[in-house]
Amino acid sequence: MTDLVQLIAQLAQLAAGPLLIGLVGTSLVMVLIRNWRITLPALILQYALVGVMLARVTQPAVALITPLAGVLISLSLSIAAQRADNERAARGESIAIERVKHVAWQSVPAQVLLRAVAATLTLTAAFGVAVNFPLPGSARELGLAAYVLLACGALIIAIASEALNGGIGLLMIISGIELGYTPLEPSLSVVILLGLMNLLVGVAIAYLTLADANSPKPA
Amino acid sequence: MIPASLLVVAIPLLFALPAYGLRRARTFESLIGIGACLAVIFILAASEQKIVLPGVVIDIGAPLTLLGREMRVHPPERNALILLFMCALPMFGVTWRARQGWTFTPVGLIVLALFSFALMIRPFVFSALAIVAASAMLAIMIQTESNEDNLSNLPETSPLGAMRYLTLAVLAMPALLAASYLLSRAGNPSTDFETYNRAAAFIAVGFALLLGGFPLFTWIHPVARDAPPLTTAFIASVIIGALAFVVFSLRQEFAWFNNSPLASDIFRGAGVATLIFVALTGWAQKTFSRTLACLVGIGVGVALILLAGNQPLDMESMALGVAAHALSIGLMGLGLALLREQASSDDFESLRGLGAKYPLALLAVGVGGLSAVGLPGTFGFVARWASARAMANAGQLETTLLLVAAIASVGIGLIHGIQVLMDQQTSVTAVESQVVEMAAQPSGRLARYRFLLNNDVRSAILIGVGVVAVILLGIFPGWIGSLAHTIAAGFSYYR
Repeated sequence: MTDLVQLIAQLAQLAAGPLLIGLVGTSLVMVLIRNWRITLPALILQYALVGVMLARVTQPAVALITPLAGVLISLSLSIAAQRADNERAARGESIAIERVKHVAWQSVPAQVLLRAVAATLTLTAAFGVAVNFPLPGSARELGLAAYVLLACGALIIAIASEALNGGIGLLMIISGIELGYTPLEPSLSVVILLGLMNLLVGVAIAYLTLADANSPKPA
Repeated sequence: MIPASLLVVAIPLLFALPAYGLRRARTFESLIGIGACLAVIFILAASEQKIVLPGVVIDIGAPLTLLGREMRVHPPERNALILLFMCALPMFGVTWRARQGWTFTPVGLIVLALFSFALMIRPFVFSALAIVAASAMLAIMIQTESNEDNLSNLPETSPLGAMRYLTLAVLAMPALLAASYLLSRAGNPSTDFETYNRAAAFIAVGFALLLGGFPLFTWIHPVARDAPPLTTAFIASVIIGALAFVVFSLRQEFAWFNNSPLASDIFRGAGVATLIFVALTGWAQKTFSRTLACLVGIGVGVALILLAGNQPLDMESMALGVAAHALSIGLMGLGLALLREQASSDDFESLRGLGAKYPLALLAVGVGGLSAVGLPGTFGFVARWASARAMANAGQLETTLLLVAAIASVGIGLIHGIQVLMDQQTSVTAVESQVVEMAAQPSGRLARYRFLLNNDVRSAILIGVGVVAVILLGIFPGWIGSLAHTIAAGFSYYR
């Protein structure tokens, strides 16, 4: 654990630019791609980046709570997604690993292009809001990161029909809230409660992911 | 010495474990839920400040420090907590007959514990986080397997309602956290009026989101469609009541919030808009779940309007409304749960004629629904009358008329549904098929009679008690009225 704390403390010394680019990149992956075998690793990476950014304004040991909670959430989501895929496979429906191995190139460009346009507009709006309505606190890069996560999370919720993808959008919104709020009240108790709440939301999304696999789909 | 606040949170959490373990044994699961509620009510209703049990002393007002913050049973919220557990108690009891999925009792107990925590912890940012955590658990309660006990032939439902509820609860969080930040930076309330008014507005927006006020009510209809009927009743009474009492507690604690005209306008505006929406759409509903959603909508609208008020009658009406919803919508939910076991859908046409075959279910839907609407002579009327009187006393004649219009509109839809239920045209239902199948097997006749007897006796007991309670409390509302009066007397923000 001490090594992890030291690592996160050292990473927090990095310039804000690469961290912000990482956050934008992982957010884009989750907006553009619906396959959980790609989006869940991106979510774990995003939680790690959020933890590093939080370590810039709070104790590294406190900041570590967010990535740890994120890893637990992502693990529970991956178990639920795998079980949901097993049920779909038993019904002869398409599952995530097949869609990774055999990409349907004829339908991908149209969908991804549409989402890319929406993501570009959303990110532009997030940058605009971050400049015109900066969040309180001295760390402006955290405010920008918070707006990016809030905007991309809201976009994912708006365009995703599956519980898992919508849930990933919700988790991004919570990460954005953490980035925006933790610098304002960097107390251990608030971070612990936010982490616990994050875990409970993750459990609920995992449960809904399983339910979604059995729910009737529109014809 | 044990602080009572610890037990109020810990008892439901501890009882949730055996409730989960015994989820297939309905009687035990139901008894565990009832036991947890009774234990908490016993502690909170004690007349003395300290309860002395063998080897243990429970101090009602003793604080418990948790993560550096203080949690205690504050005198104003004590009776409100009793009311919430009293409302949850009959719903756990009803699962004895109408199974609501494995999540109902264990997760319901966890939700109760989290809302109790939210009512007792200070400062309010912790309450906000606990409420969002409770909402996450509630999403699990909303989305449950509908055919796990092989009695229901309902198809699996979509998780849309649960996801929407969870999303709006999470979206409420930034508003509540923003209010908390503004408070931590604000100066003297008498000079820094603008900051406090903004904080109050953020709190009002956050709670309007959590309560499901118009135009943010998008979860109510999907939840009523996807969730088991008693879960909808649980939300309509216990959850809306708990959220309302958290707001009343904030008004009690913060004079600037209590006096904020902006917060009052947000609550009143959202409440009026919700009632207008219900008044416009209630009469046209073609399914019982949507009619139930409109009844919840009336509850939400009335709650938001009462939250904006500034008189003791507002709080009394809220307490009566919470209790009336628990009994009325709970009874209607029990009837609907029984009917849902028989049909593939709960739209009126699918249930045509089932009332004649299942008079107990018809009785529950009829009496529960009409009480929830506010038929004179039922408990629901007492609550609706109190709400209308509170609005009229506050000089809001238009709002009172709007409430009457919303009630009339939903009443038309409900009566149409009851008429369809009473129609003579019938079809073979799932339970009938099951009974015929049983009769065809060796010793099937015995199994058939046992099956029918077991279900009908339980239904008759629960529905009989529910109907008698709804009518008796409608004629003699004194007992519950005095509890509502005691709750209101515990607060002083309106003085």
